Amino acid sequence: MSVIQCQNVTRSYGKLKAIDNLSFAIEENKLTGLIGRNGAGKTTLLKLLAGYLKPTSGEIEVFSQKPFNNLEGSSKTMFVNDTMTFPDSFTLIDILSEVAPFYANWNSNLAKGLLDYFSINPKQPHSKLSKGSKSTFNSILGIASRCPLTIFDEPTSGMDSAVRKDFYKALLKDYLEYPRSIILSSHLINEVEGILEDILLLNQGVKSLHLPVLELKKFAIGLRGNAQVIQRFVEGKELIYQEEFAKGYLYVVLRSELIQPELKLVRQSGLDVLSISTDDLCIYLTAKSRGGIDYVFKRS
Amino acid sequence: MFLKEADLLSFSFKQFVYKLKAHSNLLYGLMLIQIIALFFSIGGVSHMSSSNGELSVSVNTYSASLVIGFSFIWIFFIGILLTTKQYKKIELPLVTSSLSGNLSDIGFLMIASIFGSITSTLVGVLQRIILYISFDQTQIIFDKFLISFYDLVLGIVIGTLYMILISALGYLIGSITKLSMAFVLIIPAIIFGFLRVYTDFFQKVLLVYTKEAALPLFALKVLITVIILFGVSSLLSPNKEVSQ
Repeated sequence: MSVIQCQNVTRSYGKLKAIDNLSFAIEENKLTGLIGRNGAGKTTLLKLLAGYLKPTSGEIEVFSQKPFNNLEGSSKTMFVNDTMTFPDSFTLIDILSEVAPFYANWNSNLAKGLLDYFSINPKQPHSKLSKGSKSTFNSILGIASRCPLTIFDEPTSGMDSAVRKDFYKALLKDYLEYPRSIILSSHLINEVEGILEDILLLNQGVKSLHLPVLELKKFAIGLRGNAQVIQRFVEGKELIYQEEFAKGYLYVVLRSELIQPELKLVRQSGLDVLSISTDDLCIYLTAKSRGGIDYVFKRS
Repeated sequence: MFLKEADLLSFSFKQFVYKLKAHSNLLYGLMLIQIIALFFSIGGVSHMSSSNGELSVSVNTYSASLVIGFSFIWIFFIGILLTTKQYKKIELPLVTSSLSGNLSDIGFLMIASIFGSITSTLVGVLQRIILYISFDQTQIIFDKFLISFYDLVLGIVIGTLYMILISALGYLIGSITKLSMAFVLIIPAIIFGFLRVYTDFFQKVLLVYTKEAALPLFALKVLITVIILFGVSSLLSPNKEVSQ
């Protein structure tokens, strides 16, 4: 069963299309990473899913219903972001107990345990927290609410590296114990790929790919060596990335399936065959212009 | 499977409880305002004296109307305040829809009105006690000085009804200004414009609410008006997106 179904969803702000004709579906109980660069439309997409925004056109269905201004949808969805606001008259521990009645699966022991573990003083108001502690606290709410759909928008921004690692561990542990659909947006894929099952890569409002992480790791392959030799192999094939790293030497990235049959020959021709990390692959796929930053320096 | 109405009411009620706890500081604010008003009224709201050389009469009139007036202004601003972005934002981490948000706001305003009416009535009693203690009792003319329990309750009920009416007005104005900030300028302009041009009409409208002698009829008028005001406010919000 699909928890989320998007059909040709477009969301524009004035003339700018933040989400452009996006279609995808997310299955139940998957831990999906929403990856994209700054301004790729990640937050807009998540707000659409959480029912904060209405799509300009297209259909969004979350639990088979339109999420905008939908109480039932809201009761099954938790949207964790850095603009969550709580009344100043509540201390953190108050917030945990006051929010609890809203969510049917709320785990209050877990919430208190995590608050204690991350050693955040429970007797202070939410607005007095530092950026990192705020992110940590909001994430605790996200985990403890155990909503059928939990959305984290850049949950780790401001957290230090130790807290980040602990957060991912806590999320994964609770997810395994209590499976539910989780979407985690991030621009740091190498940090999250260890816990993700699927990756949805967004580039300027358009879906680049939506694949299981394991497939993504084998998705592309890099060739490095003499330019002429490389040209012979990749002639007519679609390249994901191309870079002339020295005069007469080329580095290209292309889908593995395109070169798989000739791989032996490639190696024999003295070319280096490199595996591509998911992080690099995502950068290549979302590059605004082929050639990367070097191109800028070459011109100037 | 999903009992929509029941859930709407149950989540609205949960939100109402949440808001009641969250905004309790607003109620303390009211008590502060009432104490300030009490200080102003202890000097007397009007003073009259006359003498003919042999006999001089000086009359001080005391009334708690200032306290009630301040409470009315307070509830009006609370009505507006609840519609502001800052106050609406606290709904977001909860289970919410625009209707449940409105219903919980309305619940809060009702409780605030009851609270405001009770406290301002009691401040009126407090004022009488202060006067009674601080003056030579023979100097007090007992015109409406002693209030019966029935009058006290009646005062609270009527005060509550007025405050709910005013809060609904504030809530509507707040809801309209949320559509566009331009209304912040337009609404006062329209009100003052109308007041000048259609003075008679406004007075008549005002009389509908202020000169009603029968309590049930007055309550009915207020109820209908309040339902309309809150209803329009609720209709204005469902298509509003969340801006952060």
